[in-house]
Amino acid sequence: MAVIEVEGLRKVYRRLRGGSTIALDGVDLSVPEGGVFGFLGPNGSGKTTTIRCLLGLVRASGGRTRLLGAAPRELRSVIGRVGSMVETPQFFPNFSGRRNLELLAGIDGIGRARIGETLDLVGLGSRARSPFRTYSLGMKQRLGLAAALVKQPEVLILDEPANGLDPAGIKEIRDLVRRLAAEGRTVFVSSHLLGEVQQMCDRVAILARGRLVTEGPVSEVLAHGRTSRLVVKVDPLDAALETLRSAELEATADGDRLLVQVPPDQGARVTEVLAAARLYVSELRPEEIDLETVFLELTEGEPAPEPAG
Amino acid sequence: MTTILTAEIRRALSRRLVRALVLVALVGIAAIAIGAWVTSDATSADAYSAADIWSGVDGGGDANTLGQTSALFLLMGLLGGASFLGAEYRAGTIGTLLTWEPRRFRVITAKLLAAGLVAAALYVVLQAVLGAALIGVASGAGTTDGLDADFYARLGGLLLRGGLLTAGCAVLGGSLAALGKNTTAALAILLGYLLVVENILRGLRPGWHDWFVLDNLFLVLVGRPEEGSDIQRTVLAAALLLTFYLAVIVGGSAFAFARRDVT
Repeated sequence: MAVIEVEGLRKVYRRLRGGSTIALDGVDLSVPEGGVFGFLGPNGSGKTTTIRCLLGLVRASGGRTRLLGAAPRELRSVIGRVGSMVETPQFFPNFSGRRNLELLAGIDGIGRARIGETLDLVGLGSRARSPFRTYSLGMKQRLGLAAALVKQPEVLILDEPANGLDPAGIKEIRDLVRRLAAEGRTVFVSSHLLGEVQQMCDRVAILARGRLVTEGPVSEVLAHGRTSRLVVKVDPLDAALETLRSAELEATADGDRLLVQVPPDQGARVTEVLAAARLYVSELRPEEIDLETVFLELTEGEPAPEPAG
Repeated sequence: MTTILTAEIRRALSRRLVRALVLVALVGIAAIAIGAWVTSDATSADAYSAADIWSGVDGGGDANTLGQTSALFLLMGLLGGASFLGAEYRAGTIGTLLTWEPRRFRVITAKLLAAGLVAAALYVVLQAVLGAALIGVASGAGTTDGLDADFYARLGGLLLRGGLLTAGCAVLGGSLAALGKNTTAALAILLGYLLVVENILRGLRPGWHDWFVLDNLFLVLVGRPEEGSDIQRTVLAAALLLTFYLAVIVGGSAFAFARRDVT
């Protein structure tokens, strides 16, 4: 069962002085139950707008969204099972973190003990009574996370949760998100920290300029962007390069190694050609590709949607 | 509805502005009571009396302290209500709240209701404290003449009508702040209309008296037509007209709140 369903989602922001901007241009997305789902995209690609549409904060211009089966008009029936944090969390600046949380939690009748536990969980226990305005960006993020977690939700929607956190804080969030997923919750997380997403997520979707460019398990998305190249270490490099080119294999030097343009399953042919020339490889492996490379490849060439008016 | 209303009332009572206004009001009450005590001479015609506390506008030369402070409380209600909603927009917390309670009509209703209830409660409590202090002055340093059942009935009526009007002012301020997404804009529009536009119209179109907000508001507050007043309405009709004005603005504000994108 999909906990988040998005079909043909469109959002056009109209300006008072005329003209408009297309923020989302027919996004389709399906987030299955359980696990961590990464939602990637460059700034302005429409990630936050998608999340706002899901949560009923922004009215879609077209298409439909469903969160735990509920359309935006029916959100009340499921909102108690959904914890969310959209962009940098906003709270009342003169109230303490705890007071802010108490006011929100009061709506769902959540008790003080649970609030205290949650503040401790996100590492804000010692500063819970300080005014929100005195918090650093990282602390504000932690309070936003606490507001999302205090409901003990089935589905967590987190928009850039690691924004403003130091490396230790980022790791804490990663561990927390993995732990929540291990408990059976579904975590939908947007981020631009690709390394984090690669470590944290089971599935990802990449959005560029209001359109979904790919979606699937992390391994599949990585494979999607994988260029068919083998990394070869051999000595001497120049002679090996000459030999491979003579055998009509496309190869280039890259530092102390060669990159050979063949599918990974044709490694035997590379070793055969080199061995025939008495050149013996010391390392042969498929080139590794990370999410950042795939992300950049997929998002760079996307045409921008035309202004609507 | 009860839970969100309770949360909103808690928030209203936690606000620094509300606490500051209450503190200012208490200091003012103390100053008024001390001033009345010091200037009252029980042996002369200047003795502080029930008529000085509250006798209605047509009391003729009396201090009518509670009537004058009522006007201040109405302004404070307006400011408090506008600030209560405006602060949400300034802090950007509306989005956070809607991820807990997505039914927007319910949210705006709870907010306006909380603003109105808190404003009305503070009006009644603070005016009652001031009234009690001044009754003490009349008893201790003035004259108890006029402190009869009729006086207490009129005082109760003032507290009731003033409380409702203060609530209405808070709701009006809150509605305009929600409409304009800004406290200052709400206050500027409202005070600009009441103090400038309505005054100009009063000069240009004297026949429109019956429809002016301030004329109707003072009629309701006083509880009876002022002697020589141009307004030709009953108190009930004035109250209904004000309710209608308020309903139009609240309705517009709620509609905008329900339709607007929260970004």
